[in-house]
Amino acid sequence: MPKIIVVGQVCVDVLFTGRGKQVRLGGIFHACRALAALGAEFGIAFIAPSYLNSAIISQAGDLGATASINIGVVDGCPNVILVGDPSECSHQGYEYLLEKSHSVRLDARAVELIFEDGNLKDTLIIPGGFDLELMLNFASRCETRVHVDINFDTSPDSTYQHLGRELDTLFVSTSSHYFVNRFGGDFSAMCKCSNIPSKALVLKENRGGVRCYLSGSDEIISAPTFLRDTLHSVGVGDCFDAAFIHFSEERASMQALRFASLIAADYACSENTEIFHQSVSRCLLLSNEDVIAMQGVCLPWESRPNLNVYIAAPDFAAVDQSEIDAVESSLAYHNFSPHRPVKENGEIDANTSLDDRCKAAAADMSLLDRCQIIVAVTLYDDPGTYIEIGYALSQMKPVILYSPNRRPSNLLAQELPTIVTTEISEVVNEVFIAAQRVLFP
Amino acid sequence: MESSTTGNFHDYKPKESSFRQHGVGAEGGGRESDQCELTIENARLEEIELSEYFKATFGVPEVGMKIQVRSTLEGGRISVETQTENKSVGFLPTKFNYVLGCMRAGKSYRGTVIASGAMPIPRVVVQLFPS
Repeated sequence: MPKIIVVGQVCVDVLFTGRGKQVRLGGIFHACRALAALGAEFGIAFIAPSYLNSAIISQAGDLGATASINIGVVDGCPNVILVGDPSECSHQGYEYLLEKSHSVRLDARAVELIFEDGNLKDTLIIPGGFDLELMLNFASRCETRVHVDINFDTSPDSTYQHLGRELDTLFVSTSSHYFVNRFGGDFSAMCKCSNIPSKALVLKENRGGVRCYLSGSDEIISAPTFLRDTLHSVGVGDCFDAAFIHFSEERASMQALRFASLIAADYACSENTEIFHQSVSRCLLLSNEDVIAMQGVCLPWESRPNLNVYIAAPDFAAVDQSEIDAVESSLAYHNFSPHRPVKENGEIDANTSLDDRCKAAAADMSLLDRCQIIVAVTLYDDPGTYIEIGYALSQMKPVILYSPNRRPSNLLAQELPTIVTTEISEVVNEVFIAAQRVLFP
Repeated sequence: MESSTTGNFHDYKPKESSFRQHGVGAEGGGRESDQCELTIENARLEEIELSEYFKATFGVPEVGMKIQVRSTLEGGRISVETQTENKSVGFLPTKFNYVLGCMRAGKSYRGTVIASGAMPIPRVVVQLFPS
């Protein structure tokens, strides 16, 4: 048995990107790709529909897995996930085909055999759709360190008692029900009140970094996200999990968090295994001092509602507002406070009285004063939007210009904002960067 | 009907294959390049006012000035400096942090200032070539 084994389902991810449809194995394969790139001795214990078995074994073998064990069969469902927004600017729009018909037949003996091998040091379990209690019961019989990513798990907390000891790591993300609904998006509350005991409780905060609560020393450490021009966000969290476990073997938790964050950033920038391996090999050349010093984005979830973002746009009823909606939705998804002045203060038309016009103009300016960052959406050359851009620039506020259809024709609008982009993912990235400077100067 | 683009896993090319391959799947994401080989185009430097050059001259380097990336981090940032006097002129945006790994693998980055101005906000835009 290899030193680390990744346990869970294998799916087929179908990503709808601007570059066309991308199809690749997902589920626990994301963690496997990270371990392969890191040169770790790993194996997989997979659950999948039987039609995927040969592809899984073949691809796992080519990645360097020293064991590929089929521990369960998915029935009734092809395990295909359509990903509408791979970049996770907003909800990723996962569509799990035939999810309601999904069922798993777990091979208990195969699961038991995994945990009978004394060579197994680490087990990363990505639960969801299978009997976690059975898995933990078997794991309790050996000394393996057990790490769980709870993102898609719906098991009750009591399930984890079957391990008979603490987890070594519990991974949670800010998009998970466990964090948002159970603990109201409050990391401190989760650390104090979580009924799943673990030595390390890791909260992955998307573009805003990662925090880790170490129960032994009762301290919280954090690491930044190293934002890049990402191609996708699918499986990046699982990649982080695997990298963190790998680095934790020989490095302190702070270093492990940061190196894992670098590896995850590389994974998000690549759809090509060879390129990813090259990038990881160069990360491994960095010294601990380099990685500890390197700046990125640390923006805790709880701090983000304090960032008010003014969306300057021709936000009128007669205009197709879908791009403006997308910006608002993205910012809200990441827990910022977006504001649409036309929606908040009202739309003016030819019949609006002079008094109401003055009040609306004053309200818009007041809102602009209150907001710290401006995202301008230039669907066309709207004078009002340009006035708002100029006003914000004169106040030295960051202006991020999103021009989905066409480059703005105005010279000042082209050259003076912090960034002019056609990609909403770049808008989100820049908001995170600017928000950190504003909230934590 | 012939399918297009999703005939194979896009990131995997079987070592031996007896079937015809279609579309992107056969190429394994061939449109990607090694990031260390990419020219850094139109990078707008940050924190210009904190740079050694600005503090010394109260100005920004002229267009055409030869610059290079420093091999060590400065305050956790990747600094760009003049080739002649090794004075920093600003930081690369953090999205270029990967350059540090490229430099540790033996790459160096040199180039020129392609746009600059002191008003209304100091601005330096550079182009850097890996070598």
